Parts: sequence; structure tokens; C-alpha cells
Amino acid sequence: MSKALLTVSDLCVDFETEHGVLNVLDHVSFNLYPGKTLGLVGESGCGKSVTSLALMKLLQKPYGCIRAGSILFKGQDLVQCDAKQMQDLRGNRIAMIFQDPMTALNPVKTIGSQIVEVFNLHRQELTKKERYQCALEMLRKVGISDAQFRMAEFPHQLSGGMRQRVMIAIALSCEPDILIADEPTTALDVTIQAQILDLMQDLQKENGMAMLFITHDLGVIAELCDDVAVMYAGRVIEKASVIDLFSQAKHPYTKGLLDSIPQLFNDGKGALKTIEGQVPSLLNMPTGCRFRNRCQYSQQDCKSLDHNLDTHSENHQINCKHWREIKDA
Amino acid sequence: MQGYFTQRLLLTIPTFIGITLLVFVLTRLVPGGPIERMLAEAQLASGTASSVSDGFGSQSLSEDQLDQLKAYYGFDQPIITSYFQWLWKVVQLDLGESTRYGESVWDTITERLPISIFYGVTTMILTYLLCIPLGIFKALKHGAPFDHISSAIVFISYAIPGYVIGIACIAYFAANLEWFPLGGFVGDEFEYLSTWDKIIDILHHATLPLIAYMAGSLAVMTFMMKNSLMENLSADYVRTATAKGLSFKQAITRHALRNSLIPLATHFGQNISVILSGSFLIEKIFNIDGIGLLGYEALVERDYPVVMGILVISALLYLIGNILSDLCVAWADPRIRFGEKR
Repeated sequence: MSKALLTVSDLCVDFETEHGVLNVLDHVSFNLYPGKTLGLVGESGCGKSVTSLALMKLLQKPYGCIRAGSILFKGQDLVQCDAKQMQDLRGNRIAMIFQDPMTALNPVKTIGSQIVEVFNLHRQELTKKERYQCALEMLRKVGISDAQFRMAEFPHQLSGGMRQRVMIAIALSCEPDILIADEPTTALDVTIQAQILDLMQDLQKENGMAMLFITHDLGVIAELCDDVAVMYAGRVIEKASVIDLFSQAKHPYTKGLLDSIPQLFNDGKGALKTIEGQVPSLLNMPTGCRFRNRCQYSQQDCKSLDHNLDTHSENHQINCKHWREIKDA
Repeated sequence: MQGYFTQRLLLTIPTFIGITLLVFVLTRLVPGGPIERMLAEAQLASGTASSVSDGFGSQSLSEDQLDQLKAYYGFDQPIITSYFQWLWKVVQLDLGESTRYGESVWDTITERLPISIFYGVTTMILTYLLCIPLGIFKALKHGAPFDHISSAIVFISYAIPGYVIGIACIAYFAANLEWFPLGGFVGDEFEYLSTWDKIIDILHHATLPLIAYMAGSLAVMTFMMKNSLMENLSADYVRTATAKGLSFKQAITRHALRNSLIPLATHFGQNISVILSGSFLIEKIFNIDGIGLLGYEALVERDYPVVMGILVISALLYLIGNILSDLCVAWADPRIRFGEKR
């Protein structure tokens, strides 16, 4: 495998709240490779979005802060970067697409001015006219018809799918090395989802950028990603290639997730499978394995599990003490 | 858009008729009126001289004279007829004559209007100049000591009525420290001053009343600004803006600010009408001869032509203010385009 473009190692993020310090991310590590897509999957509140915001260093101060770990991007540790350096990177080398295109665009500015703004920030060598032309070109690239006309329109005049295309145009304007997509299709209906995913894949092939794709939709993961990291309660609990993950998941949580997917060929009777219990609150997280209170295989020594991943193969790692003993159903 | 505003403008006509008709009928229906007041005054004047024993019969005016007066004021006609007579005069810009002074109502009002406009417009400008930056600053410093202290001050000034603040200011700054004059719009020697000194004189007299005027509106505007900006700061598009590479400051000035001014724009038109009509209590305290005081006195003295005249002007201001609000909102928010078909 080629050299990693971005290496996140042992990233810990704490949130300061009225109830005390919450450990939201616990030693999260993963790599992003050029031209490849890493899917980050997990249920709501497991730290997916916090991870993406931490990479951009957009955590809301003073509540969220990176306590430990490093984010190496082209030999530069983003954790150590100051505000100015991050501003140069954001939107330029690392770009981000957000979940809800209905609110992610400024309602009182035209589509055109919001795209041109990126060029104003990062491509100051271009003339005003060139910036406009580049923005127009981007709109065409993301498949918006009548681009010239749309440039002068406001976000409310566009449909949800079109707005997400505009968001993608903004994110990809400077041909970033890394694109972080935080549930970009969750707010869209299914046909539009497919279009947007196709578009993102096409643009990735063109640019060769690395993509971090955050979702809780396993179907989207299967379609789009090369590798997958499964998160649970602030920890990465299993990392594998997408094929390994779907064919031979090892962690009991991942197995539970996969079992919870409704099967098309069932007779449609009987209750849907679920994982028993609830995610523990961040305020009283169990020691050791964070999943052990819901895990049917949990044993005494699960209390002493740390954040380290056990290696199954080079590409497949599991944060569990007993994964070898668990037989496939 | 144009169609919408033509429609709105045309709608002001029935609204205006509704407002004035209602008040006109009320002035007729409530007991007492200009003639009764004159009779009472005449009786008081003669009553002190002659004995009271004559009782009700000894009116200083004969029936004939009374009828003449009634005809003069139009009281001999049915209410609706005299309303439309009045309205027809208003259309010709004739507001009638004051029953108290015998002067033209139009002159009485226009004489005082500049004073009220001066206070109204200055208060509005100062309020915006103070509240917008203060609101922004408070939003950025949310939870800091400055935020709490300024909130306390603003709320105290909101809780105390403007005229009480006015009285306190007079007592301390004018009577005690003698920094400012006790009242009036200009000083006694105003006519003999140079232009520059005239301005100074007006401002000197205006300082305390302006404080009293502003005290109440300060809280509303400041907190509207603060809350609206804070709401926008956590909006998704501000996060998008920072993800593009803008600094936090740039994200505020280029993205959050204009969005958070929208609620203030809605308020703009109403402010115009409210402050131009002034506050008679503050005018009374500071002895300012403005519209508020005039209206109050006209009501007490049953000077109905003046009451109706002031009503005409404030109703028009209110109606225009509402339309201005719409214009402001449409200007600030591209999502609002009145009367356009999608």
C-alpha cells in the first residue's frame, strides 16, 4: 500500500461540560491514503463527527480540545499548527462537506459568491474574472445545469441535491488532498443519494484525493469505501478492508451491527434483530472495554482491555480480548 | 415586488379610514366636548362673580349661541356625515382649527413636529449605534464578566420606566451637579447664539431627555442583536465558512452578521412610528414642547381637532413604517421577495 497521506495516531478529544470532563475520543488512530476512501461508521454520538471536526481543528472552543495524539499531514502535525496555518489548509488542502445542505450554505449570499470566496482565500493570484470562471467551471463539474444562471441564485432557490452539489463544488474548488465528508447523503432522498455518491467517486478518481467518509449507513459504506473503521463510544473497535468487514467481522459489536441489517430474503416475519442495551453515557463509561455491558461474550478480564487493537491480519484489527473465541453465527 | 407594494399602499387607505373613523366616533360618544368645556370655563369665570343660586338656568350662553357653536364645530350633523366632512378636509390637507387656541391644527402640529422628529431620529440612530456593537460584543463575550455586567445594566434600565430615569437624571445631573439644564428644548438666549453654539445648546439640552428615551429601547435592541448573532454563530453555514478557511472573525463579519441583522430590520419601521409620536411623560418632565405633550393636553382639554390631527399623522407614520419594515426585510433577506410567483 502506498504511503499514508494523513496519519491520525492516538487522538484523544475531551469536552469540558458542566458535569465534568468527558472523554469523547479515546486513542483514535487511522490512516488515509491517496485515492482511497476510509469509511468511519458508528451509531449516533460515537464520535464520528467529532473526529472529522478534530481533523479540521474546528472543535468549538473552549468546550472541545485535543488532549493528546497527533494528526500528521505531509509531515506536518496539525495538532501543533496555529490558527493561521490551519486557515491556509482548510478549504485548500483539506476540505469538508457537511450533513445538511439545507443549512450549510449562507442564505443571504449568492451561490456564485460562496464558491468564489474559496478562490478569494486560497487562489489570490487569479484575477477576479478568472475566479468567477473557475467557480463556474466547478458548478458545471458537479453537474449543475444552467451554471451561469445558478451562480446568481440564492441557496433557497435550489433543491437539496443541488445544494449538496454546490457544497461539493465549494469543497473541491482547490483540488484538496483530503476530503472529509460528514454524512453528506443523510439528508437527501435515496435517488439523490446515489447521484451524489457517484459524483463523489468520479471526482475522487479525477483528483486522486483521499476521502474520509462518515456515515451510519452500512449500505453506503459497502458501495463507496475501500477500508472501514467502526467506532463505538469514542473508540475505534474494528478496522478492516470493506470486504473483510462485511464477510468476516470479528468484533461482537460489528457483528451485531451487521446482524441488525434487515435481510431481503427473510420471510418478513419476526422481530428485527437489535443489539441489547444502550450506549453507556460518557459520564460513566465502563472501565476497560466500552462495549462490555452490552456484550454477550463479556468476561471478567474485559475490564482490563485498553485502547490497543489486536491484529488479525495486516489490514484487519480488532479491539477485543476474546474475538478469537467467538464463532461466526 | 412592485405589485405587492402598490397593493400594500392601496390597503393603507381603508386601514386609515378604519382607524380615524373609530377614534372620531369615540370622541363624539364620550361625554364632554369642546363646547361643554367652554361652558364650564365661562361658568367658572362668571360663577366666582355671581352667586351659584341661579343653578343650571343661568348659562352664560343662549340657546342660539349654543346652536351656532354646534354648527361651527359640526356637532349638529350626524356622526357619519361630519366624519366624511372632516375626512374631505383632511384630504385637502386641512385639519381644522384647535378649539383651544383657535389656531390651525396643521400649524400647531408642524410647529412641534421638528422637535419630536429631532428626538425620535436621534434616539433611533443612537440606539442602533449603541445596541448593534454592544450586542455583537456581548455575543462574542458570552458568559464573560463584561457580558453579565452589561446585561445587568441594560435590564435595570429596561425595568425602570423612562420618565423615572428622566426624573433621576434631572435631580442628580441638572439640579445637583448643574451639568445640564433642567429642561426645555433650547436655552433662553438661543436666538442670539452663533450657529455652532446653537448646536451645542440643543445637544446640551437634549442629553438628559435622550438618555431617558433610550433607556427602554436599549434592552430590546441589544438582546435582539445578541441572541440573533449567537444563534447565527452556531449555524451550519458559519461552520462551512470556517471550513473554507476563513478566520472566525471573517466568518462573523462576512457571513453571520448580515443574517443576524434581519430581525432588527423587521423592527425598523415600527421604531419610526413609535418614537416620532414621542413620550408625553418624558416631554412633560423635561418641558419639551413636542407632539407627545401636545396630544396629551389636547385629550385632557377635549381639543378634538388636535387629537384627530395627531392621530392622522401617527396613523400615517405607522402605516408607512410597516411598509418600510417590509422593504427593509426584503432588502436584507433575499429569501423574501414579496408577491413574486415561484
